[in-house]
Amino acid sequence: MTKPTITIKICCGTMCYIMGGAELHLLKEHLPAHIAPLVKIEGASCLGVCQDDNEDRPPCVMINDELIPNATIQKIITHITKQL
Amino acid sequence: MHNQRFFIEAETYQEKKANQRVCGDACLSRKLKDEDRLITVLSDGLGSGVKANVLATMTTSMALQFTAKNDPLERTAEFIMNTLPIDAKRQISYSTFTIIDINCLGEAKVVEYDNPPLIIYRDGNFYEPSKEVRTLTRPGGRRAKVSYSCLNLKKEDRIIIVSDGITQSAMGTPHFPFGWESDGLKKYIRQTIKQNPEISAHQLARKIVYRASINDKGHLTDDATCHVIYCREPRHLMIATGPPFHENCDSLLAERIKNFDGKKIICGGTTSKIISRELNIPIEVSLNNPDPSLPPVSKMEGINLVTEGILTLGKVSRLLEELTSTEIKGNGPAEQMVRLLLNTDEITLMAGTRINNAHQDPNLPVELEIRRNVIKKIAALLEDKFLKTINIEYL
Repeated sequence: MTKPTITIKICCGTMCYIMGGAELHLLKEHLPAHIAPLVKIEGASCLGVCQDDNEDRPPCVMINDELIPNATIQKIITHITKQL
Repeated sequence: MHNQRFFIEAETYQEKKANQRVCGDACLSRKLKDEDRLITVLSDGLGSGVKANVLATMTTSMALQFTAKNDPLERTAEFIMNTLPIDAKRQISYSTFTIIDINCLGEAKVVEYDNPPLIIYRDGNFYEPSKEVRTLTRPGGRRAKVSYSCLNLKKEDRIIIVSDGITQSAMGTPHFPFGWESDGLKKYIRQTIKQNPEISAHQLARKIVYRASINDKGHLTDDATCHVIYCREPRHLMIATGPPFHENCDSLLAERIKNFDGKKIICGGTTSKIISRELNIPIEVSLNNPDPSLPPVSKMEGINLVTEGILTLGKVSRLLEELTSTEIKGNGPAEQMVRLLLNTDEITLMAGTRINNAHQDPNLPVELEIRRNVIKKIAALLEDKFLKTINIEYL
């Protein structure tokens, strides 16, 4: 069996959840079949992006150690595809 | 309700007569916080359906108000009998009542009029208090016998009051030609408590009404109401929600949670991170969420429930407001919290007052209320509607 090489941490904080993060929890169902076995999806408590005064907006996810702000399912898939 | 010796849990369960839209019995309890006093009234209105419900509701409200104001019970009973509307068919106004008034020392004053006699369960037996019977004159010159009794409640005592729909269930069956009666009910109570000595007031009330319904083969022939008062060791719960205003209070909050003797809930992402950091307990966030309208619950060792903050509290407040019984459907984060809250007697709310700047954007949904307001609302509901004892500590 293929070992997951990518870990995605979805922020489950309040801001991320109401700004579209709720949909990201369904990410597993949207991953293409060839990518799904390589990805491990986890929940994370607030990653703190909403507290910073920068351009990064919730919802956000961490793909391995990289923070992805304004995350959408499509944006995450594109990002993973690039890394593979 | 709490007094120095034990906590008093008071719960009602009722079912309406088969094919009726509303229950013709009413049961009301009120906790007078300043006096540490609990008043409960159960009333059965004449007949069944809406008319009976109106009579019973009027009786319970009046009896509760008069008792709370310490009016003489004769006056209360007389006033109720003179005020109730007269039934057009039978030309009488009638409803039964049982009033129980428990003070801060655990002394209970009981007034009973035409309901099945109240049952006191103590140390595996049934205790019979001495009763004084007085006669009152009802409108139309009819005489009514009202009984008065006093008792000193002890820890582990249970008081059970029922409407006659319970004691008269099964009437006419070969087993119980005259109904289940108080003897049948007592036998069932003894057996149920023997099987589960810590059965809660709510569970016992529900079991008794279910049994009455079974006695009537699932079609109750009268409205059935059971109210149980249980004096016991209080169950404690602490909720930590919101980060403390001063960061140097973080360790204090964590210590309070760690050393608390009872169930523990952490409500809020930042709060759980603070406690995780201070106590060195990792947080595991689960993505399995039975309620997609709220962020999922997390797990921390030694904590019974870890949830998101303000959205979950908002839903808890809505659920508590809408609940009409203590039955909760669903297993989302808010439902889990409500279940824990209702299975507790004394709740300590540790409310952090630091404002989350990210939540102050006017473009965000209105559900992001100020935490303190939601907490106050939840505390008021738990206190007034569910008779819990609440302590709020702001940090």
